[in-house]
Amino acid sequence: MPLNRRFRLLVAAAALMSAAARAATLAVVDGVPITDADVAAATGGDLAGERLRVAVDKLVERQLILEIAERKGLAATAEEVNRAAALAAKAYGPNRDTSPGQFRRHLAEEITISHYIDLYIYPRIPTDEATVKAWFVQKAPSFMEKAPRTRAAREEEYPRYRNEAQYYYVRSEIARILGEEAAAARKSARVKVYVGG
Amino acid sequence: MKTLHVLSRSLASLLALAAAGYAAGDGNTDAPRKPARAMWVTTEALYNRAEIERLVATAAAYDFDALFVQVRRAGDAYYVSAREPYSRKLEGQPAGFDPLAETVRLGRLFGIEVHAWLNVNYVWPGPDLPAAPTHVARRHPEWISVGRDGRRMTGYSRRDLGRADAEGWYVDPAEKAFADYFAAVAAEVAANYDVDGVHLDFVRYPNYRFGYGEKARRRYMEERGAPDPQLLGFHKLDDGIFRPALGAEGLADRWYDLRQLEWLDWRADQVTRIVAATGKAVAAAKPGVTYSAAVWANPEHAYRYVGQDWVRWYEDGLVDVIIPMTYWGDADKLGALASRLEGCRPGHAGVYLGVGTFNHGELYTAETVAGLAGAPVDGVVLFDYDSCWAKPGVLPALVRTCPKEKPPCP
Repeated sequence: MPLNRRFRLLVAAAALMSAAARAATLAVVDGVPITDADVAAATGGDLAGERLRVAVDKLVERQLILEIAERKGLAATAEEVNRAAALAAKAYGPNRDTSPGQFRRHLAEEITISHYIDLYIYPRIPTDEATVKAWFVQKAPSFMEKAPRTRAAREEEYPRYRNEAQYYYVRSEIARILGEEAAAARKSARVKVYVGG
Repeated sequence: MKTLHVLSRSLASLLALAAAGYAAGDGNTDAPRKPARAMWVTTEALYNRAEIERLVATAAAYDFDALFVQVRRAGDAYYVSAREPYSRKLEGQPAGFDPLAETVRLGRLFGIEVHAWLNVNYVWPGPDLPAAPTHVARRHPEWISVGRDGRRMTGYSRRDLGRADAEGWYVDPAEKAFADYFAAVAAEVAANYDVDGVHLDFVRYPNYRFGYGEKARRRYMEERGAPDPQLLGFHKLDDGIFRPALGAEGLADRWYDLRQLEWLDWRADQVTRIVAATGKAVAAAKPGVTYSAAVWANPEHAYRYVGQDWVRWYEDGLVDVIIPMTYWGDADKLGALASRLEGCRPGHAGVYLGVGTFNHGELYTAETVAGLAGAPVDGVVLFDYDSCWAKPGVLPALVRTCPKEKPPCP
């Protein structure tokens, strides 16, 4: 076989293997596969090693939360999806990262989860001044860069950081509760992960 | 600069003769239409009669079609108004001096359109109160915008304003009574002066940090059934919304993203309401007058940061002419924006492109304008007259390079 033909065959075989790899199932949650195409859509790149494992774990968590929201019958309507897609396009221009179908699909899932947060998570989070202030003084995260370092200084300067603290507090509480619910759901769900240790 | 002074004086006298025979329209509607050549003129050129004469003579010498003349700069009037205070910058001028009337009179003589440029939401530089008791900021301090820190701009120091990236005090666009107030201000100008157009600028929020007054937030929550936007104050929405959110943290962020999109939409609606109400009032006061607005050039930035949904204004024909202020782009970018707007679509607004002369070298304007030759724009507006005057090469170069005809519609 001439060398250049052998080379072309090798390239074609590599391309086939690559395509097969792209469609590879990395995890399954209650029968729903998570492929590396899903990882690529969510992260914008081909990941490997620990970063891939973390991304798959987060997609598993996402799927578990989605299933909780769907069981509550909170599915997004087509009208809601259309509206959110139109507003996103207005704010950021045409979608550049995923195909319109894929974008609408993940948007629908996220609106469903958002309904769940509205009805079942957010109302459980106490947002009174004392709670937010206590959180700020004790736990203000490192990414609140300008926040004072010491607790005493935070106590004193809280009024300046009130709104910022409220935002970060609510955000972290939503994430914490969702994470706990996903962890609980995982115990009874049929989850198989094919990457990592 | 001196050369230009002499040139404009001698040309002014010559052109005065020529202009005497100029009629506003020559009746030949089939003639190819060249893109309008226009300039924004800030109030500094209106401080006295001699400045106005120099302005119009220069515009005539360089074949300008239109002047956008700033006559409401900071909640004050460079015309005679029953509604707003006469500008203190005009103190010392002869009694009855009316810069807008004078500009219109000379513009008519030279066949140059005069559009009354009104700053809308920006009303005062601060931090001290305006002296005039009839100033809108004194009569309605409750209309001045509130920051997400809960403080009204009237309580901001000069340093605070700078740190918040605000030029001065703005009326909150969500203040419903202001839409009626401003519509009446614009209608007064249209009714009392023979202007060719009414032109809006600063019709927007100062930036995303403002608009958090209790009244506005309450109305938003009622109208959209959404949580308090104060909660969103520090959420930075980015185009990651086009990717699936990862994990519990990503989903928490997405919950904010979706609410942020709603808040941005509501804010943009408040600005659009002012544009629509003013357009209606102006048209009623003077049918046929050209209604235009200067806007941030990047449509998405304009929408997100300052609430200008100007693509909607353009598409819905809420204005007759939209003028993106493309001060920072090169000719290719400007052409691309013009093409994106598809300026030929019937029922839509016309498109003039704002070109910066204040922030570029003298040849930049000429090159930029020449680069627009193939773009379907209806006009070019230079910002601004003062910088053209300070850079004597700009105007002669412009005359040579400005497109002679608008490209035909496809």
